[in-house]
Amino acid sequence: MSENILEVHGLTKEFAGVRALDNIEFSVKEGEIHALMGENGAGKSTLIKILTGLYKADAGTIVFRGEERHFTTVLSAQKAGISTIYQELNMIPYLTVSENIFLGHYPYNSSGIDWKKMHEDAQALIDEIGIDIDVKRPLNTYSTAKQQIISIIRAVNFNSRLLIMDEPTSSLDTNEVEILFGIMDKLKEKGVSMIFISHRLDEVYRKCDRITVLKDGHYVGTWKTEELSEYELLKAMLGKKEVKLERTLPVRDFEDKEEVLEVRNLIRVPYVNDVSFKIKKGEILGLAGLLGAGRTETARIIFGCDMPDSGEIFVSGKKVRIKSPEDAIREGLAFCTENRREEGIFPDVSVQNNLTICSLDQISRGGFINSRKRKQLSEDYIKKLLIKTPSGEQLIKNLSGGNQQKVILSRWMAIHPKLIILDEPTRGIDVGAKAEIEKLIHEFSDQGISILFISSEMAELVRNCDRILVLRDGKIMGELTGQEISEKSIMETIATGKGND
Amino acid sequence: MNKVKTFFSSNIALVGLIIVLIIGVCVQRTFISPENLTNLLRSSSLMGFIGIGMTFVVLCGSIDLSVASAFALSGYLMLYMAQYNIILAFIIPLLAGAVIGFINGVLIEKLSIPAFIATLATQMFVRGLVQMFCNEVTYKIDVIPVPVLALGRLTFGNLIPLPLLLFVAATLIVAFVLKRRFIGRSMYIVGGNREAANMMGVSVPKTMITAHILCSVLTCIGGMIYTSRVGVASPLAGTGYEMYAIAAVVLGGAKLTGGVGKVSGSFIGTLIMSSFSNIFSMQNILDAVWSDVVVGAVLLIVIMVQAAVTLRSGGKKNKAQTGAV
Amino acid sequence: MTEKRSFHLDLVFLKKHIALILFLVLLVVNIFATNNFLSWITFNNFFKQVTRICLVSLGMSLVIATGGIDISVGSAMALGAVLAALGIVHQSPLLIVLSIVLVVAFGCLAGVAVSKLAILPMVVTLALRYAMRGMAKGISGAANVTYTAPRLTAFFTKPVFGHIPVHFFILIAAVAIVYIIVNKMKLGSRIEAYGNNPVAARNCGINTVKIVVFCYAITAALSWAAGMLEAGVVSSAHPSTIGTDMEIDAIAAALIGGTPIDGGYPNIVGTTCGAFVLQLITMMCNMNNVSYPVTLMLKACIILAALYFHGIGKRSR
Repeated sequence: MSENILEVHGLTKEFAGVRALDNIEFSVKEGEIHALMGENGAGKSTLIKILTGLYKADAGTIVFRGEERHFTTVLSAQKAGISTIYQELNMIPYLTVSENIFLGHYPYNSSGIDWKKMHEDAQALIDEIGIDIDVKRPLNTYSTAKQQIISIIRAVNFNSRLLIMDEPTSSLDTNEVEILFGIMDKLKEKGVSMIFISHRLDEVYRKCDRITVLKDGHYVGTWKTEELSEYELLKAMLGKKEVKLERTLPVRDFEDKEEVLEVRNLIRVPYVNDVSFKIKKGEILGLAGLLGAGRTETARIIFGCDMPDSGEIFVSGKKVRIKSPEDAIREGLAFCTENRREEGIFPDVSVQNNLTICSLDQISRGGFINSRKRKQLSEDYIKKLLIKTPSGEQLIKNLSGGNQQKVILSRWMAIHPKLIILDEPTRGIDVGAKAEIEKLIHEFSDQGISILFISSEMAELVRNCDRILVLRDGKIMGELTGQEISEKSIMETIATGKGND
Repeated sequence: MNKVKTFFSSNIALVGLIIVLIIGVCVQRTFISPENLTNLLRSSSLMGFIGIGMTFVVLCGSIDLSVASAFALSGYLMLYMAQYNIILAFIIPLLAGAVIGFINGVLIEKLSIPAFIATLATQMFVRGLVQMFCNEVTYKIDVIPVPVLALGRLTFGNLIPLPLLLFVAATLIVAFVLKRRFIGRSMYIVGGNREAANMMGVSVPKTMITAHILCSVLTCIGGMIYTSRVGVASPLAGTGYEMYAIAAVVLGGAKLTGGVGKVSGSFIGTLIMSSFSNIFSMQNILDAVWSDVVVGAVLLIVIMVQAAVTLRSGGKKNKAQTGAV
Repeated sequence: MTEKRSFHLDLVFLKKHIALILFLVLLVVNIFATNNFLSWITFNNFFKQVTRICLVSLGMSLVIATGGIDISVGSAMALGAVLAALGIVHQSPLLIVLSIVLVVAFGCLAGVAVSKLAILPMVVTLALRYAMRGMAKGISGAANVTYTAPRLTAFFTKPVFGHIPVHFFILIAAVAIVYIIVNKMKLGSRIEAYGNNPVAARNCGINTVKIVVFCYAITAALSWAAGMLEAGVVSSAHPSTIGTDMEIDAIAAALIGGTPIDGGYPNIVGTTCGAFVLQLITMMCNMNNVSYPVTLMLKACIILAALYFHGIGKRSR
């Protein structure tokens, strides 16, 4: 039994009274690849940020290589031997590859930075891996995958004993993943330990020795990979301990309803790999899957935020070309985005203007807005959706998350869409508002609006959807209808997807 | 083929300069006469100091509009001090430059005022200061000490002006600092990715303030040479030079968003800019009054080509990726 | 907690109206401290000077609201004025029409370059600044273009109703139009939304290119008008002096007025007051024999203070 290089005990961290981490236990052995699993809000990133010195823990101990440590800066963690490869690369795009590798610890000679040595050493490191990279070229001339690999080389070059990899494979294609795995194997031989975060179960099962699962800031458990089935893992990550609301939705039949949206063979490498489905009028179609399964990406393509590599979209049976959200809205689609703050609200704009921004055409004449109609429209929705705001003049940033979300829902309802895509509509919203929003979703459906419902909370999908598509790695693994729908069946479909490959 | 492509894309400025020089020769044979080249290089060196100084701040993703006024202030201070102490005449202007740069840096980094506005305000303030010192008229002193005169007027072997030598020396030193010193690399890092810089323990405020100080000090050297050359300190000296310097830096291939640029580029950019006016003054096809149009058009073409290249080379994909989370 | 909240609200209120408050304070101070301040002459001078600054500031405010900046406004003024003056000299209405068409076309070009090609606004307008100033110099041979058009000159110089300069009415009209665009029209709502959150604006189906191009084009048009005003009073247009340093005043006015530098709601009333404040400082200093350099320094300090003030609270996040 090899020794633990890292031991974490009782780690706790609060943000504004909310416990992001609660009494976490975690350990990594020397030379092992340890998977850290958990859905959004599980506390993975907070844990990593504490380990690398970006955040300070409120309580608990970190023992690294036998010593209790509290890193205060990224640099000090790096010097001690912990390096991190982030999803968003922390490198300098315009500088040469070799400089990026040696950033912060340049080789010097008598006259300053020794570029010749730097290039040679960097090239040697690259050649050792066996990939085709010219270290003298700027970093941004290479693909994301190669940049990712370069950032690993940099971390290793720092004499890291523990490498934290935060979703290193999320933007890589199959070949590139293989190269990455090759590097990981070599590092493992050298005795480097790795914390591996990925939402692709295959990768975790192929590469990792042990798995630790976090959920909602709590430690769930640590298992040896071979002792934990995929289903058990999913249950640990997603399963709810508390009693869940029963599915109340009656089984509805959409057989003879008209078709509102159909997508055929949508592909956007590497996120979406051949997705096809149809939605009928008034139907609530759920998209289930782990993070990075391609749910949001699919929605973004449908709405024209991203262009697909290939594929067709039909609205009401007619083939359409959607090149921008403007086109999508014209076709009667609406999209309530996942990141409310970054992509949804206009923070410094009033509730009323936030609410009516998409329906200006209805309330104006010859370019002039009828302020009475605007007020009327916004008050109607404020009343209908029970939005808690002192007035329509209030800036939206002063509202609670749930009320902000309701404003955005109203914004889209006001254009009377055929279909609305809801991407994590209840994220970061308190329980009461959640129930209200779920109720609204059913009201929309009763009005004949189709809904494409994306959620990471399985119970929510189970409660609300007529039909669920299960995605994994950008592919549809299976479809569940009516009484088949349950948390168990969803998890099984994700887990047993392998067979259908 | 690929190599040729890389060479061109990384040395657009040099190619531009060659084109300009060829045009120059076509327009007027005497363009490449030693006298004219000396003239050209001497006039480049005045502006050149601002250009290479500006390189520092642009690399950091900042900008400095106060150079025009610092340019004037340094000239005045040099002349003023020359009446009392010849050594102070050289030191005080540089110190003044350092102070202006420091203030710019502090306004931008510590008070978080956008660089554009902060340096605009210092530009106004310093200009006001110079005008107050000069009483709004051109400032003259009776006897200018020889060393002060020599700074702008000394010419070796009738061909190589001292300002040019200083300019080349300054460019080399700046190139060295940017390439071989940590502070130079920090500027690239800060401009290239501020957050990464923070994570790697590169102090953003320190780098930023240093860049602004260096920029102002170099500008002041330019101002001193200019004043020495004309022999008087005009309160309006250097008006518009900030734009001229920025144009030179952009022509030299630097990105105003930071992280990209070379001092050699700014050097060449300056040469291109002064060649324009030189050529214009020598030809009679197009009246010299049109020279600004050419500068504007060339700038426009250069940035459009740059933008088209960035857009095509996966700029789009990256944008989509950051949005996709 | 409640105390903090009320302070916060006060800060919001102050930020929104700081330019107006500054203006009123300066006004009152001047009424008491400056001799002969309350007179038609002062009124006349004030509006003759402030109107062109204000026109350009209104446009600048829109451009800044989209997160951009336009440093070519002074050159646009010069190009417009010189072309139009030449048109009057040669009695060619075509040239006069061309003067505005050309200037607005350059504005559109800037908008397209910024929104479609993603070029930094500062760089594009720097190039246009050279191009337009250069054209103004080129077509006029870098010389003053003087024209005789008594009726036109009278229009610009003769007070209406005995006391009020025509500039006053032009200013009121311009402010009203831009105010209505921003606050009463679809376009205005979209500009505000785009400035506040460009990504969300795109997701809401707003044609972002159209918005940006419009803002740069209207700035060009307003600059043209300002150029006409400057030339109209003296019946001549000098390509090198018209509109120099105008971008400084315009940017300062818009920012003092509370238009956020990183984009957002274009505060039109604030911008107007911002322009008034700048002009009032100049006049105050003039009338009290404060020298020009001191005025300049004073203005610089006020700009910095206003910017620092508007930044409070934003930074603490």
